[in-house]
Amino acid sequence: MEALDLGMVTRVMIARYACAVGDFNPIHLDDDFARRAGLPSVIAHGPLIGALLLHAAFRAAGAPQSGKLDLRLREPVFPGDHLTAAVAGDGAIQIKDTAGRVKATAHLTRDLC
Amino acid sequence: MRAEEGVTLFSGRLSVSAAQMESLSRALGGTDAESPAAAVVPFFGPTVAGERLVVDGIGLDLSRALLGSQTYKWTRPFRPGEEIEVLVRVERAWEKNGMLFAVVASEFREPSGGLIQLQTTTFIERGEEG
Repeated sequence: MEALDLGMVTRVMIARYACAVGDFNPIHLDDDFARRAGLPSVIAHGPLIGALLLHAAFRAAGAPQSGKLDLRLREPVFPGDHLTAAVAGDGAIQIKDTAGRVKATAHLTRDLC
Repeated sequence: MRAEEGVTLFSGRLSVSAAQMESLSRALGGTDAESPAAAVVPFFGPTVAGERLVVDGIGLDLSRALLGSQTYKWTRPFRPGEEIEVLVRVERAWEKNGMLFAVVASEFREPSGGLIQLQTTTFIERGEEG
């Protein structure tokens, strides 16, 4: 898999995702709530990161009829984080921000039989 | 968190909303209303029957909750307007190092029983400070 640009995560994107899937956990939408939980700001939904990976992967290589995505979240993703995805030496897809921090790792299997 | 293994959080029939899929597509791609990813992940299983489904169902404290991992296994994309059977249940629950873990499994099937997608989501609740 070539390196993929997942784009910048924005507050608008997070809000749109929340509406689309019905996940209004305030940790994703309310800065005051997020700060009380020890975070500097709201964070993106974990599944949004997986959806962004699929969106970019399907655009690059087409959408398979069947498949499997295993996503492991390593660090919170904040508004303003620009994410890229690339396959690491161990075969896992690493999703990183521009500072090189690994935000999530994933395995994507296409066309299950 | 007070998750009990095996407990069913939701069981019922839902319709796959074309508007919801388009909304998700826009979230992923900005002006792109045709993201094929939106046909694979239009549902976050733990909120499929309302945002409080899992929060109340397993007593999740949102101020200490994290999402640890998620798996999607799909046999085909969802189709706009189709009717699906949904089952959401607590698959596993355990405690480790003062943190609570719960795996919520969500099944999406055709009315005939054919599997469309399995999702598993691992929630983590950090221990209370001090």
